[in-house]
Amino acid sequence: MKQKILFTILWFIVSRVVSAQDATEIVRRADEKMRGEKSSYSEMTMRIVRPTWERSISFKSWSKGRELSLLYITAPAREKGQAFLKINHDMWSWNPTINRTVKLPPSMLSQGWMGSDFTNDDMLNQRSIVVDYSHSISSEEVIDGFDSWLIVLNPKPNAPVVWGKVELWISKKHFLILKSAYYDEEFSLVKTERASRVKEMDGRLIPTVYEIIPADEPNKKTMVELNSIKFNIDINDNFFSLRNLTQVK
Amino acid sequence: MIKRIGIFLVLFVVASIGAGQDFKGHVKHLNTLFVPNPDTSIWFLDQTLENRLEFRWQKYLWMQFEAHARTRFIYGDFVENIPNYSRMLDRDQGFFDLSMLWADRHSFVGCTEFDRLWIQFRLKHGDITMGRQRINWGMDLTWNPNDIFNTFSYLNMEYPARPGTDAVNLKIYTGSLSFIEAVFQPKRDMDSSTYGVRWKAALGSTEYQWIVANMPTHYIVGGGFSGEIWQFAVRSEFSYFHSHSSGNKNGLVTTLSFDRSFASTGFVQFGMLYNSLGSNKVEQSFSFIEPQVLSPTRLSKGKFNLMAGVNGTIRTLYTPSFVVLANPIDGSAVLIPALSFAASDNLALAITSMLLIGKRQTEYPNIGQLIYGKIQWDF
Repeated sequence: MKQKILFTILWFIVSRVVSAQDATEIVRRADEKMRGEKSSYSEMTMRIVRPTWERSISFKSWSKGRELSLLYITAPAREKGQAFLKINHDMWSWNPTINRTVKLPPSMLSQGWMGSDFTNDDMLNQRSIVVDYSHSISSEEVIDGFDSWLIVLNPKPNAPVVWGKVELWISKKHFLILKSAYYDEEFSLVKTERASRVKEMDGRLIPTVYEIIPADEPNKKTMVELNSIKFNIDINDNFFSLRNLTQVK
Repeated sequence: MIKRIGIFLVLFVVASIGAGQDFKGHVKHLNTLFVPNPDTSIWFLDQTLENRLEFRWQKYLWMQFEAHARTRFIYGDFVENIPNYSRMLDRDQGFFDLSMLWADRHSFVGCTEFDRLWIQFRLKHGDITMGRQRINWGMDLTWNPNDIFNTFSYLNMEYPARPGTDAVNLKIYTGSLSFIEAVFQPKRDMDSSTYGVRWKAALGSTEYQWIVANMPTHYIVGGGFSGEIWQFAVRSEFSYFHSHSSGNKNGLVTTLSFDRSFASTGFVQFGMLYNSLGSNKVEQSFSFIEPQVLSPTRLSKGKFNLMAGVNGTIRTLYTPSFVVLANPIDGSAVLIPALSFAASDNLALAITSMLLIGKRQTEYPNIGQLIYGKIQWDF
């Protein structure tokens, strides 16, 4: 009897560990699917949609691994030329009008990027979902016709993240993050992200439209459309520097 | 002078047409209302039409050329009532005279100036930039005692681009976050020239810099840093000015500030300035018209200044802000409430006030109140 109880406990522990490893591996594969295993370059248009008006911002984005990213705004004219750099957890902005780079305070991570429903953390702090959270498979659901896992992400102790909990719905077949739900530290839902228009780009099947809807203001949303993307481009670490922040076009 | 301007205009137009790569600009209408105190005089109302053209040309990765022209047409009471208004507008501080007064009448003036006109050559580990450029050595957000080439007044709010400096700038990059920069700003005689070296680097999440420079009046040794404490950014600069001659005093100008964002769109900052070259009893009057600071030793008139500011975004389009600059010794202050509205992707409206509340012979004396109304279209 004792042996049976011991075996049951052991099985429970092993299955939990294996499940966590599986969940982390699923999140890692889904993350790499979108960002490339090594690096990526993309061009996107963001639309901030409100009941009576719309604004749009176009930008180029380069990333390498989870630590390095650079973003350059191409439109509208007022914001054109502004750029953002992230190295590890540090972020800088570049304003060509005053010819100056400014190091952004850590509190900026949770601020809306360019007035959108995406935060600076969403736009630049890409290492987050794999490295800064622990993962577990919660259930299985069908999202937009795709059989998907629901994976719950809880922040690791002292991780520099802004969310209290994140839920990701990841398709089983292609490892696509089709839906994400972000919760604050009191576990209240803050916003939901839906990914859609799945199509092939640079040889891989990926969603090309992302839509964020704030939980408390469902009549607002921010949409990002992927115009083009290239995965695993040849890019040197030196590209992500203060020099290139001011010179990238 | 006209000939010189003509040459550059031709160069500008030819370059724009021949290899137009990147071009942007804006048209702005600025309505300036000054209500004097005591209320014994007329209200002053001025209109400024401003056009800014920014052209960037880069055919090769190793070379870039930029030219920015600012054209203003101003009419109204300031132009009529302030002696030598047009001469003040046409005052070019650079090695080359790149400003041109093309209209100068009793009630209106028109002026065009190039505030950027530079060429940059990019080498493997560095850049060399020659011509009129913005050399920004500041690290703090309000006052910048390290910013010796383009010292500016925080209160000159309607000119965010700031004037350029005619200089040669060599920047050598020693890492992704570090570089050494040497700048030479020539004047007609060597004694009036300014030159200096800056070394900027990072240690963990803190970036810092050291500067050594020579101005016409002082040698300078200074430094600055930008780091983090909890969720706050901490920024600081100091410059020690050692006089060349007995006519000028030695002095220290230093700043410390804290800023952070809060909620999803708010931003708050606090700053302080100590200027040992300032006076405990300010006698020189404050000027509303194009407030300019020509030396980092004159960032304030008093010995101490404090700053507090807050801004946020309401419904994405509205950005209210409120800034206070105060001299705690003489009890004077200027309050700057503002509200801007993004009417479309490229059309912005803003209203800004500068309310002075000091007594006479203080740093911010109540000589009147100023209100700007602005409409700007970017293209």
